[in-house]
Amino acid sequence: MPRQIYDAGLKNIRDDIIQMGDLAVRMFVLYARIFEKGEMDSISRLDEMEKLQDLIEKTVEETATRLITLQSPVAKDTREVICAVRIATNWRKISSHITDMSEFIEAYARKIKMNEMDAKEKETLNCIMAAAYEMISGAAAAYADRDPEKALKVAESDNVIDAIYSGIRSDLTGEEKDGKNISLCSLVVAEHIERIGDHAANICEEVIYLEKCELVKLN
Amino acid sequence: MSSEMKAMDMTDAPVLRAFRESAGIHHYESQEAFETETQHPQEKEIQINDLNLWYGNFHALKSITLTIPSNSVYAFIGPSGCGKSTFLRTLNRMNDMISGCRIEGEIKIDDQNIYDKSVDVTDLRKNVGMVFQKANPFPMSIYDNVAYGPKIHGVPKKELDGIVEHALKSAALWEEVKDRLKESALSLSGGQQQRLCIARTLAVKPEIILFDEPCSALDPISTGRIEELITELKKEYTIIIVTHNMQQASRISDHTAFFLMGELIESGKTTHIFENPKDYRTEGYISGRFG
Amino acid sequence: MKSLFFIGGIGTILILLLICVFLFSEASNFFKTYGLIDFLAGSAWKPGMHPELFGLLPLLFGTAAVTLGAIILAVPIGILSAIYIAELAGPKTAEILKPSVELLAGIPSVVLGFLGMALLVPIIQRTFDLTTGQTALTGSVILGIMALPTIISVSEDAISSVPLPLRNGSFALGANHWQTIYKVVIPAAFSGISASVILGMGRAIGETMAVMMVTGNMAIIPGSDVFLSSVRTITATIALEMGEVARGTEHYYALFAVGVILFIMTFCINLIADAVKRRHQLEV
Repeated sequence: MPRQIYDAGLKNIRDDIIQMGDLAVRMFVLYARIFEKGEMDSISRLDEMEKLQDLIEKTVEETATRLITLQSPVAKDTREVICAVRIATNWRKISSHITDMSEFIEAYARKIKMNEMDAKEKETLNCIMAAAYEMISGAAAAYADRDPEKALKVAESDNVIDAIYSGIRSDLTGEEKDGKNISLCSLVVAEHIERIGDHAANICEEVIYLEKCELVKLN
Repeated sequence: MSSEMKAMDMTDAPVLRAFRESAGIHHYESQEAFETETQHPQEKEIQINDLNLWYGNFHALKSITLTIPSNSVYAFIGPSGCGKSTFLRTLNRMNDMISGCRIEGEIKIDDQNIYDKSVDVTDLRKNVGMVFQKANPFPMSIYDNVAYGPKIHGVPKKELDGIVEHALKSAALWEEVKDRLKESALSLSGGQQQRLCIARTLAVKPEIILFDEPCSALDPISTGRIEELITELKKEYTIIIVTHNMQQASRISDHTAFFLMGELIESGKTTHIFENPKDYRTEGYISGRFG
Repeated sequence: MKSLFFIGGIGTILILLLICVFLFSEASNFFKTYGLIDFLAGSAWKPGMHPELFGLLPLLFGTAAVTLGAIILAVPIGILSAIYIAELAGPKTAEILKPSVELLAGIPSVVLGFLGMALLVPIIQRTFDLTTGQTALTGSVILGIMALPTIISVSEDAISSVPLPLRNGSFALGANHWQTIYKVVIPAAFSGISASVILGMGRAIGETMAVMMVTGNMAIIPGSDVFLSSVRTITATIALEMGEVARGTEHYYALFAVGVILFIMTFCINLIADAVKRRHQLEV
């Protein structure tokens, strides 16, 4: 079988990216538990997982460098390698945002109990977080299945996030304050989630480029 | 939201694998295949000390000092006329046949200097085989080609069949020729002829095999097959390959030595040479900026 | 301009055709009066007798004997010399040997015949205690000397053109020089060497002057001591008798018939040598 070493390297890179996506999904689930049930001891677990993401990203970079230097990839393999490095960076940043959000929630919860939050506000946050979950798991699935159509669909959730996010911002910066009790907590969370959405959309752009060699703007 | 999310079990195998990784232990199934560097103990290595060679008055090799570890692939690269093929030929003393060729310094294989007066050159060449740039099968049958070496060295006739089969299998040629061993070797294609020459070399059971640009006359598919063969062979043999194809050197070798105008400029692990060479001349050559 | 070359080329073929036609037509006159079988199988060549006998066999025997003898003597010496010059001799020695071989080829046959008569014949007579030293053996020796340069140069050429990579392949497997020569170089050059032998044979068959001077020219089929008897070759027969024969007689046409046989023999030999040489070029 020709080029065993080369194919093994490419497979390693693919597996690593899939694993990063997997990890990001699990991290978000953990974060959701922290937000909803206040399971603060999960934060240390999140820290470990973030460290792991850093490590995998580094491995992907090293493997990619080695493959480019020693194995001279061409055509789709080149895109595979380059996109992998960029996707890894995006996953790492998503993970970083998740831990940052969790740490913020922990600090905030010491001051204001989460279950004392305004019901409407909580509803808004649930929506935006659900959309984020859709994007994260959607991006992970789009890469794992190499499906550009799935990747395109994920971008639709980004619109939801952007809409809610601008709603929250205008609520906070706007004049009227009747009935809307949006707290700073929502702003911080929404900021992070908006960034998460962007990164997930970037990942989807990479998947489309990888499969179709087309540069598409999804943000 | 929790109804939309599934409760995930945190002790899934992938997570465990991930945690193993965080401890620095890689666990890819294909890891071994990916590692181009094998960690074999340094036994039976080749040690070259301060080797100088002259063709008449031309100083072709200048003070070459190098260690070649066993069971690895060592690539010699460099522009035309840099001495890499000349150096290769010193390892099985084929330069002895060129009149006016003079050598100083020593080459030790298994701790014995091969240029010592007591060394039997034909024995040396049995131990250090060579595959040439253009396949050079004898105008005989396929069987006779492979059996040539063993016959010369006195192997009894009844053992020849087994040796020929084993050599052809090791050279990944057996399946293609097993039904026509008595046909002329010249009826084979270029890639097959080169593999036949490899089988011929393997039949005398060397420890070291020298390849002098073995694929330069072959098409990409035949080249790929021979590269794969070399990667297999290094498990049992020490392989040294001269190549002017940089990508080939980077693909299949564990160590690389860069020669320029008779001098050894830089040598080391292939990954280091190609990712971060120390000498600017090495970098210039491998990036194709001179040569 | 082109037509000039064309005429030149055509001219050669025309001459060849004319020779053939003339030979064959004159020879055919012989077979009007003498049976073909009697000619080919006849064991006596006695033109002076009544009736005249024109049996080919004694002449064929003579040619065969001296040619065979020449080959037996020249081939081993020739091939060994060729191997020596091509493989073993140093460059200075080769520089002396090669021209020497060519000089030997250049010696006119009459000179060799003369030397044979003067030197070799008495020696053979004394050594074997014969009535005359003019025997098939003597002819063989002289013809051997004449065939030798052909065998040496064509063989040496074939051996030298065995490509270096083939030799290197053998050396790289741990063979020494002798093994390489014996097992690789000679088999690879085999076609060329065979061609040289056949060409040498052709030279021997067609030789006239030298054999006339040393073989004794007795047109009989020799007994058991083949090489120590006198023989007569086809070529000598034509040379000796053409001068004294009258035009238009049966004897006259008989000589043409013999000439045709000789022509056919040399023609076939050249064809075979050509085919062998071509096969040699294809293989190497």
